[in-house]
Amino acid sequence: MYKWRGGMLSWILHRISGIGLVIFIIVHIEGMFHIAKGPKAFNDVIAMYNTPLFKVLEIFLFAAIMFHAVNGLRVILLDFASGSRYPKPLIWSTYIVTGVVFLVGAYFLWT
Amino acid sequence: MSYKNATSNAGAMGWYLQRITGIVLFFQVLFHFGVYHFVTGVSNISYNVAIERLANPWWKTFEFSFLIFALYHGSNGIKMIIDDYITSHGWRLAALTVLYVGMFVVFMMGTTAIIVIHKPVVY
Repeated sequence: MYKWRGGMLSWILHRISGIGLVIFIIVHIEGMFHIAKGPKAFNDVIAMYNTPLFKVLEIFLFAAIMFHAVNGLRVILLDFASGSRYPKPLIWSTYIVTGVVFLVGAYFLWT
Repeated sequence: MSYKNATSNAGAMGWYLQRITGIVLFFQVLFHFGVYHFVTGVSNISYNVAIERLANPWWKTFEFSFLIFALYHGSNGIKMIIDDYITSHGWRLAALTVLYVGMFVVFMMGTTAIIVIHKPVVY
């Protein structure tokens, strides 16, 4: 029962972060496409990325990437490696690894 | 065992490719994000820096392969969600059409940004 609930939360968070990352990549590629329009257009986009709002969004992006990457690795270990023997430790390891890397990374992104 | 494989009619091929591209993307995204956000820093990126980097064939190849893997993985993931939640055949077809047409446009924009040859501008 607990196993199902723990896995369910990871599953929902994986989908939410995945949808967020798809929205991000569309916006990101649209932004980088400005390189084809010359230096002024591209540097204007970069200037926008350096505003406080985008700094906050960058930290959210980092959180989504880390969770999706680490949890995705967990799913692969579960499906292909012997991870199915340790489903519970794999779930809490995912949150611990994501949390620690996120906190250290967010500190460097913010400062 | 895996509840992840709940998608009703996602082909086995899509299921495998989602995991294979996922492994590749794990390394690609950490490298890409690490270099641009931690090593270089967004505040140090400019037109000249980007042009100079993309002039390097290794960077060009890396960014282009990253684009392909990421867009495939993202499209496939959204397809799985569409398959799970949209049961009507017509609406599912409509949603998938929007998804693939949209992703193709994004792919062309990304390809233009990465592949199109730019001249370094020094000013």
